[in-house]
Amino acid sequence: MVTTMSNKKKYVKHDLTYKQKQKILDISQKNDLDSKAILELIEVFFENFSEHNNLDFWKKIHYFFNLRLLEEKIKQKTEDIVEIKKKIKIQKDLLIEYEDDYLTIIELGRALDSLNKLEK
Amino acid sequence: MSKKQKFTILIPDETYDLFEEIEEVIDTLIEHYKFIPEINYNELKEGNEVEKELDVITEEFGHISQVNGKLMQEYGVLNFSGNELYTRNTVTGIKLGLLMGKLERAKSIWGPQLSLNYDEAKTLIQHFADRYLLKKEES
Repeated sequence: MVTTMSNKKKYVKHDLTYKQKQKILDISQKNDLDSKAILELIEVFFENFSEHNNLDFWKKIHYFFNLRLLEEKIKQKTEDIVEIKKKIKIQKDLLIEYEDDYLTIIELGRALDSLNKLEK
Repeated sequence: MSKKQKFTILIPDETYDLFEEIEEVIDTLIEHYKFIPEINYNELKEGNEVEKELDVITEEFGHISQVNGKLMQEYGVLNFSGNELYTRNTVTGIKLGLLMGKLERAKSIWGPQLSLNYDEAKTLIQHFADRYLLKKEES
């Protein structure tokens, strides 16, 4: 279906597929974002893209996305590394604590067993 | 999914006709939606320029993934050891209840004759019971 806006530019009214709807709803839920905002972003993109409107330009966009995605993943991994280092430190401290606890429990057990024998 | 919500977008006619597979383009846009506002339409880099940058950044990503992988492995080993020690202490801790009883009895029989701080010992046993038997804290 082709529709026309005020600037006489023609538009196609395009329905998203079921999978695309699901994906948008999923993103919307996970990021606490209105799904309409995502649709608007896509519409604005097409509006801006139409000023250039060629496949080479789309390739450039694609490269830009790949680059940004990779940068984002590196950022995420860097944060993961900081987090895992914290967890390693906690775990190492816990190992020492568990070992100390074990020795204390054994010692306490022995001491109380001795007391028990004294009772007799 | 709400039936009332419309998932329809307006695509300029000439752009719609440009792509053989408009669904693939929309999929890509949904996938990268958060980068859309960052696009500077007048200063996008050329393919070969970006490819070099991509090579460098891909290498960096590979390296950082390796570091992360090794740390994850180290954490996995530590976590496994931690769980083993925790389980060992839980098994050992099963007799804490009996020991607490013995402590109470000893206190009632010997009282101050023994140089033992009963309250401190009781607190310690309770602490171990909370930690290993009642699991009142995160392991």
